[in-house]
Amino acid sequence: MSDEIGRLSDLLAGDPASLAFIPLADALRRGSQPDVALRVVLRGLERHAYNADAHDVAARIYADIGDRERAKDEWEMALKITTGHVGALRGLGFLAFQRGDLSTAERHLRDAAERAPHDAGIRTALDRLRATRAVENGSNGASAPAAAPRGTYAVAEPLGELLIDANGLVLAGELRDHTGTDVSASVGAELTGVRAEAEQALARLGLGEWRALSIDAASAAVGLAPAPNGAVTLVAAAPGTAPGLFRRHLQRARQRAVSFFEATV
Amino acid sequence: MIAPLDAVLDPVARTRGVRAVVLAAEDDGVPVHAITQTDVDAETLTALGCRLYRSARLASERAGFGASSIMHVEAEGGQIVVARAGNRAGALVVIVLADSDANTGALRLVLSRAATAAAEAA
Repeated sequence: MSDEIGRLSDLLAGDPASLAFIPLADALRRGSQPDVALRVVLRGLERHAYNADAHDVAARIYADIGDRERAKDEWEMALKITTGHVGALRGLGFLAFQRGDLSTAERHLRDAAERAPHDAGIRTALDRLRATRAVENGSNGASAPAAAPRGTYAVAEPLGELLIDANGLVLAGELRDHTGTDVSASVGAELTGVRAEAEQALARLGLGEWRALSIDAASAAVGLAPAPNGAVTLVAAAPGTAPGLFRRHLQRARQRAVSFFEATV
Repeated sequence: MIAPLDAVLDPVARTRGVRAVVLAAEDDGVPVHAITQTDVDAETLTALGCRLYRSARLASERAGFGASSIMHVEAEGGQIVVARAGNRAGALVVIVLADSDANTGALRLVLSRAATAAAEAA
């Protein structure tokens, strides 16, 4: 990552008018430097105000830091510049999903899927969205994981669930980000590292064994819980998922982890 | 008259089951203001809470989930909840140490309010 950032920085320094600022800002965003990424892309947009990809990257940065209004503005701008911009459609679908506007989310993702029919990530996101809508509508659609009877509460299913071994390797499950990319391995490796930190802190404070660790992040609610054999189970759900429901998702994931080990020992 | 930071932290401290509440700068892990019970070492809680929150925040960002607003750790002997005050990385955080049977919903609610008030006061 730092090599890529260094190479793109050199490229941009050599030609400040180039479009290298776009991949550079995105690399900085992925490298958890949102402030620098934003400065780079906004400076680039001063020269290239009508570049849809640059607005797309700016929107992703805003989405990452939780500024959904600006993210929406940037993705809408990208769409005005390039009709049918896939990144913008996908992003606007994601934002609509976050605020619970599932019909708008489906419309954007469907448009994106029509323009990028081979993008498995968009297809997966669309399938999951339709399954969620089916649950909320109380229908018995074939793709619905568990249709809720009419008149009951809608139960949003988690975005994904992973079982990760003590070395941070995925044992089971799958997780995709809002662009539809499979991020199971990276999420597993990154977040299980937090477990050791938590165990140390709890030991120093005399609080005993950990039971759960949850994070409310900009694009997901994420929870970790201990599983047998030093493994960790991880659940990700849409941001804003009711904390009580999220806790139940995590408890069920733990039960599945126990079953997994019983079945594979 | 209640000092401004006492006014920010006091509603959290008065929540049932709360043993300590600390306002701290995430980067240096040093308490800015704290209200604790006598058996809680505010400096240790702050150092560990900030470090753990920072670790979770960075992992969340690297994993693509974006900035984190609240982190909650539940353990046999208690729970730690950390809320970010403000939108910038390295900002102030409010750290709470509570009993394991403290009402989690109430904790999250008062903590979110305190974090908002702290960001406005900063």
